[in-house]
Amino acid sequence: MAEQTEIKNKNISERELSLLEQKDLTKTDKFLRRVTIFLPLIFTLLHLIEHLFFPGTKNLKPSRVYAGLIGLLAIIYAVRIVASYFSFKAYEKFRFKSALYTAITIVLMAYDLATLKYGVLALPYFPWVGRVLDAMVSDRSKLWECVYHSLKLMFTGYFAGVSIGLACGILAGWSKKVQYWIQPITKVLGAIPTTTYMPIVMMLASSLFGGAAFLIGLGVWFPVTISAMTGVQNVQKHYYEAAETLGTDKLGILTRVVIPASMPGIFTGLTQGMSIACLTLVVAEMMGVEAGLGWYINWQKGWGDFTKMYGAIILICITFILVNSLLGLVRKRVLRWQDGGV
Amino acid sequence: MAVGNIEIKDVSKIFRRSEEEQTLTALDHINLSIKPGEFVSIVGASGCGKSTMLRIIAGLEKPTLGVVIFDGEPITGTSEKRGLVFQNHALFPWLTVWDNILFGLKSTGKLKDNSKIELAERLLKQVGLEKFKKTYPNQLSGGMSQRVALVRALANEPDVLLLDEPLGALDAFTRMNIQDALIDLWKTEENTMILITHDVDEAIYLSQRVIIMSPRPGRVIESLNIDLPYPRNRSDKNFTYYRNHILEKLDLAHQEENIEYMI
Repeated sequence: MAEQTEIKNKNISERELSLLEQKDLTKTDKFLRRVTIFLPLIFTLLHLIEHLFFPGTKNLKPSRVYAGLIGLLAIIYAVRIVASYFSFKAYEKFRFKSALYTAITIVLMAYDLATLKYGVLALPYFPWVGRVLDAMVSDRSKLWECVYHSLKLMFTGYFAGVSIGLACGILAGWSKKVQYWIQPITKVLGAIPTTTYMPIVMMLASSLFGGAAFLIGLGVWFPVTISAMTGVQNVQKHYYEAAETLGTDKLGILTRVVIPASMPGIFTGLTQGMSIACLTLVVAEMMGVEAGLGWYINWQKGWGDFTKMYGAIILICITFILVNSLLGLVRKRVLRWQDGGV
Repeated sequence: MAVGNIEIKDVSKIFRRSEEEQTLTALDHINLSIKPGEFVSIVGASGCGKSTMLRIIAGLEKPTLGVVIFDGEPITGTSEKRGLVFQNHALFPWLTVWDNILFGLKSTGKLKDNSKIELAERLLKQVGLEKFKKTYPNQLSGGMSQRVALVRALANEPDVLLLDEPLGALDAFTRMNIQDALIDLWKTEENTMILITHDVDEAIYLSQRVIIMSPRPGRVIESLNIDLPYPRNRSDKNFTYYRNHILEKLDLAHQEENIEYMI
């Protein structure tokens, strides 16, 4: 059959295909491509030497933690260079990112020179990265507590908002009667950022944690409800008909057709909800809740300890990035049928 | 094989037209009976209500007047006994080929029956796609998807298989390929087949009886038995005779319609 022979022709490996596609490259191009992967390592080592041994004018002590991190990075780059000789895929991937890694290293080095070595950018507003890391290490137990508290608050609110939002949205998309009652609520509340109600909620709530979780949940509820509702409404008619003629009952159609078919839409809502949760969390912690990273940032700012404040900001960024990439991974796994990966 | 009998009794379907006082008669007093195990094709110009008729038999739509009797019982809704294959295959993209095929068995609680699973395996093999069990529909070509859709409908062992222009969107070569697969499946499964098509050759090649319909309002103008042995030859003299006859009838129906409009 024609369709099957097409598939069989795919038998050349990815490496062979890439080589075929690259056959127009000149020798110099190929040489430059090979060299590119060494640049991150070279610049990282330069940065390490500069940080530890370059005297500068200030004569301040370099940070061991920072040096350690840079060293770790250098080792990772070295390993990836070695790996690129064994796997073509690893080589292509590393080559693609090399320029970016090099640029980041150069920026870090320039900042290090401007602060630690020459003091062009002065303390307390511009601490060097090593100093921030040292501050984070010295205050680590307090910071861990804050991270734990922030995550706990965020996930409590997020999951509450997501579960109620999914239930409301799916039912509203499924039944006109439910939509009749839910639509007005989403229309009125949807346009207003939930942080607006913060003073009222903080005043009325019996616990600050509960109040903040409620606000986060409310903020998440809105996009999840809307996206689930439109997702369900946009399920193509022929999926229903196919399921019906295959002998599927109403409940089966809801759980096995409607929900999976609206998953792409639902995940848009989940992602939007996550950014709203992050935003509301920071605002709530800065305004009322007396724990968590947002509170820590405000507290250190009050004491004028900008180094620790920067540390907490970096930590909060890392936390949010991790949480969002976790959601991205879940999304990729659930929606793997979209790009048809086997 | 005594099940899969369909009696269409005086069925009319009248649609409401938006923003107009008039209504549209899609089907006008259709009477038709289809024997168990018969392969029937319905041909007609677009707008003759042939798809509507199939949807009524499937139970997706209700007739305005009249009734359709299926094995002695009037049709009131959909049933797994009357499988439907759509023009756009309608596979569930979030399920693999194999899970798509098992969808109906899961719905009817027959997943634990090993003989059903074996049947599904055999059907998949019969259409030459046993290697694509774990593939998602997005990775399949149009022809492959339509084969899977056929297997999905047949895995439920329907008494009647309704085919709504299933090959309409495919290229000529793939189409001929699947036509042979369809005859093959019909011979082994022995169920009633009702095929909607606008391709006269396809109707003659596949079916024992061709029902010719005229448009606006949809009426049956002839029920023509095709007395040719399988496998049929498209360039055969008798084949050409049937083709010319059907085309003539369709053309006539078309002209009459035009005259009506001129008056």
